[in-house]
Amino acid sequence: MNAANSTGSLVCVGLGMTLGSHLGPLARSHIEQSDVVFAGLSDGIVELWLQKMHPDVRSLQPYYHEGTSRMQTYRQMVEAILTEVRAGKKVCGVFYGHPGVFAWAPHKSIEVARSEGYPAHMEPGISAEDCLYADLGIDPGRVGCQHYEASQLLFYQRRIDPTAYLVLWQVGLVGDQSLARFSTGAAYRQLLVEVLARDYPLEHEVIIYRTATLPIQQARIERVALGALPQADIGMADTVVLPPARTMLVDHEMRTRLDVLDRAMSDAVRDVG
Amino acid sequence: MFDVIDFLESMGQDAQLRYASSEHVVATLAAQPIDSKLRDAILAKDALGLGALLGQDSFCCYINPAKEDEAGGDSSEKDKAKKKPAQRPKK
Repeated sequence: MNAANSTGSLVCVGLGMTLGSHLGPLARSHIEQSDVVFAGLSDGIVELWLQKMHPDVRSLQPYYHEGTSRMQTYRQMVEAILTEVRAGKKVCGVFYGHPGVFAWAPHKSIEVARSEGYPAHMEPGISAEDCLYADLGIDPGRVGCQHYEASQLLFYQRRIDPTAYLVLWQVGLVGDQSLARFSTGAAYRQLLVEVLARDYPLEHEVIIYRTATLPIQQARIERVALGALPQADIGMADTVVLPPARTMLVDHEMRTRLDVLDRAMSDAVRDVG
Repeated sequence: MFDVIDFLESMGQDAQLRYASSEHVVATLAAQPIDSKLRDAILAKDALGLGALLGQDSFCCYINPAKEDEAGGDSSEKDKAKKKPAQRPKK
């Protein structure tokens, strides 16, 4: 079917992190009004909840296979979603948390749909990052906050600012070059610790965090020394947070230049007056 | 019919129930037509057990690759995802 005379469309929405607590009214309306719903969720019980909102919910979970590159899995997800859009269906992709945060398939699905001429957009959701700020009492505006996919600290040369918070995602499979494993292990996390030890002392306290997925749960908040991270129990849904190790340094040169600007502004105002 | 998923939804949406004491949850659950094993799993805050009772295995929750450009995988799938049929006129 040609996109120009197709009724196909795509919206990707976020279900939030905790069953019942985070789903917004607009996202719910998109789910209820679509022809087909695709579900990329983190919990089977949450998927059962979604199935109560729509009679045709298609789980993306069967696409995962340990030993198969997840890039291939993600492309298959995109293809499954686009197949229904091209068939003229009003498609809703529902993803846990925020559909655009650490989520390749929703962004790619929208990009491809738009490139083919179909209307496609994203509605935000409450992400694990949002829950983390609330549960750990962190305000990213205070000293700043960096977010990295953990493996990227091993694959690439990244610059960390230890005066800001550092949040590492997908630590459970850090260092997996194949993209085909569901977890790595202590030896891989030891390499991560080696990289982090360039900027943080080994006794620096880090926080292992996991958002509650069901309302019967509480968030996991466990504090360990950086040097103990390899031996810690870190699963698929766990995130590691490093609080700042140093205070911000004053930039005396820039402050002096700002003082000069401030004086010039004051003089200009006085002269006008 | 009201079931365990409805109960979890109402628990997630209710400011009192979300952070309620065990006694409150016990009393609320007692008024619902929910199987005793499911009730026990809820009261034990046993998410894995609850999932098993509902026939749910663990889910994989990764949807982001660490290195997109260098990734392996089936290039034909990638090519399919990039194909561009006739364009809809821009509004």
